[in-house]
Amino acid sequence: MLKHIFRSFFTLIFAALVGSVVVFVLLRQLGGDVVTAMLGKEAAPIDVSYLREELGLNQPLIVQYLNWLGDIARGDLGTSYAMKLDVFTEMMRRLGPTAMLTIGGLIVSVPLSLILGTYSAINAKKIRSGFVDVFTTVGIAVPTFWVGLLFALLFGVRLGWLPTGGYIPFTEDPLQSIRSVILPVAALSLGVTSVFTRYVRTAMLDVMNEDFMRSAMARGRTRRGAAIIHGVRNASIPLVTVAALQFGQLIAGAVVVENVFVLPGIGRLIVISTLGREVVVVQSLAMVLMLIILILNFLVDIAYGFLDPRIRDKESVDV
Amino acid sequence: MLQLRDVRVVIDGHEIIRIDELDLAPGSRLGLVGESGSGKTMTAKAIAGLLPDESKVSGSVIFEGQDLLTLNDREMSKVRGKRIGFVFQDPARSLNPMMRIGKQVSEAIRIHSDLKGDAVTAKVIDLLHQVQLPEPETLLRRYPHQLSGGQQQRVMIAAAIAADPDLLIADEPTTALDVTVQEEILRLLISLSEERKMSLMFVSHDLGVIRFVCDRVAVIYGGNIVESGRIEDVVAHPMHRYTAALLAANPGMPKDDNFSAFIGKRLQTITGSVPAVGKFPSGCRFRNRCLSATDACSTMPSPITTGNDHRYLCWNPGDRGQS
Ligand SMILES: Nc1ncnc2c1ncn2[C@@H]1O[C@H](COP(=O)(O)OP(=O)(O)O)[C@@H](O)[C@H]1O
Ligand code: SF4
Ligand SMILES: [Mg+2]
Repeated sequence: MLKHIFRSFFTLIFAALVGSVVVFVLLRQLGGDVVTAMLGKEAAPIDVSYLREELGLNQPLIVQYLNWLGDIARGDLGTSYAMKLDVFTEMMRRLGPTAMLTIGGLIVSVPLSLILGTYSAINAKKIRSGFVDVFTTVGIAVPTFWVGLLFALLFGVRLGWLPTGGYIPFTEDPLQSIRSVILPVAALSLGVTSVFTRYVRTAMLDVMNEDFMRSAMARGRTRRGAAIIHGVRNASIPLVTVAALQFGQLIAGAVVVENVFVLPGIGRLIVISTLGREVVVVQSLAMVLMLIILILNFLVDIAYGFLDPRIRDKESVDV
Repeated sequence: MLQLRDVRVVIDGHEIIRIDELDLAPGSRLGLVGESGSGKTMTAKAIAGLLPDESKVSGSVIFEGQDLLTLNDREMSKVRGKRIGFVFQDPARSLNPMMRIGKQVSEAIRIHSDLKGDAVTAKVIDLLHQVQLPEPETLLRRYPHQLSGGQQQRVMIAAAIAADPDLLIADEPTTALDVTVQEEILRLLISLSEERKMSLMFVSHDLGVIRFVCDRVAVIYGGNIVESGRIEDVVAHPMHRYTAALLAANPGMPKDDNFSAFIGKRLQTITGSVPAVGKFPSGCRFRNRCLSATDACSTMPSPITTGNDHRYLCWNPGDRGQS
């Protein structure tokens, strides 16, 4: 088990380093000259050289990279050029809506996927499971921004049930706060739920063929009982791995949905910064989001070890 | 107690099982023997109601006066585990790797009885004692992978008899185990069936093992029960040519109780091999491999019954093997 944790941790560090190089090099070097990108082609030479100096662009690339990494490690994500905003402060200020969206998305999509996927697997040979297939196919096919727009128009504008935009902090008014994210969370969850339902269904179908499922039925479990009591537990092992991948999807979806519903979150900040050519801001935000996803992956990986008694045992003997 | 009549299982248009008659008397131990692919597991699954979804079943499986084939999954689940217990071939794969031993042994008790809490634990410990596993109190907290193959199969047996079934169906329960462990498990099954007055349907490809455990035997080939009777009668006077061939391929069949003399002499060579599904000849399924086949054999033989319910379906019966 210890070995398992060490290995996961090593993977985390290595992936973070590789990722940081990609983020840094792609945006700074391959995207053309940063200063031209930020100031436009007609900028005054004095502004250009001033910005070059400020961003440290006159130093060797490796020094730039190491400085950047050191800054991020210290929590210094840089300052935006136009508004002179500290990116870290700005990000923390905008954490609320994004956190509510992703956590809400998890709370909705994970149980729903488990129920739908299991239901579909148990009834695999029956017409009923076709409804689930139709739902997931549509859910995967339609883009998140379109769903967001549809929900906003239908439930917000037409029916007037829920707010279509704006955000009330949870600490201010929990009830209104939750109301304000219901539609965005629903829009966000549709795609993620659909994809994850497919994974659950496949994992459950595999498990249903296992000998121990037959044993459970031979002891008096119905097909459904065996699926719920023995199947879900075993299917969770492959599922935990894909669940980690879904975090990335969820965060990407949150970026889209924040813009559709005008929620003042990190996703909104990313889009505003991208439009404003704020290379420093975009770079830092990309790095932070990547780190969050990697850390979640790491935690999931450890959870995976605790889940499976075979892994739990095996590795403790090895170390 | 168990009677199969005209049981047919069809999958993808192929008739996998066609059993005209198979009986198991209360308290008796019936062996079901045949080469691999002859339909033993399918027969057990047909009785259990655990056939693949795409199978079509007809006929009747009468258990204690009730036709199991008329029951749905929910009704059948009240029979499985409670009135009929099952043990399967590969104990390592038949146990849920994520669930503690105690939970799996107690499963049938929790499903079929009102016992709760400590009463269930007490019963599980007693069951683990009965299958002669050491230190039941610590064992029930362990996971399957922490046990040896023989211990796993004992756990499977404990789980199968947990709700005190009247009949235990064991499908090649020792095939995956090594010889010394095999003998222990077989002796355990015999003593459990005697102590609990529990009937046993014992499935194996090994006539020697069946001879060791059972008092009656049914020989299956191509999904047909081609011969059945008391084990001594069938071994001494095989009538169907397939039975004779099985015995000829299994020459050393001594009469004493010495286990090691019975086993290890696997079915060696019967001319040819078991055809694939749908490739069996019409009439007697064994016709293309039988050295005594005649024109008559292209139609299904009619059953003949002699003394002691020795029953066989063969146009040219004989007990001198194929020579
Ligand atoms: N799920 C299935 N679908 C179709 N045919 C099957 C299936 N399982 C087994 N069979 C076929 O049924 C026949 C009998 O198989 P089985 O009962 O497992 O034999 P045995 O247990 O005697 O070795 C074999 O020819 C096998 O190929
Ligand atoms: S019926 Fe004919 S083919 Fe079949 S075993 Fe008897 S002699 Fe051989
Ligand atoms: Mg078999």
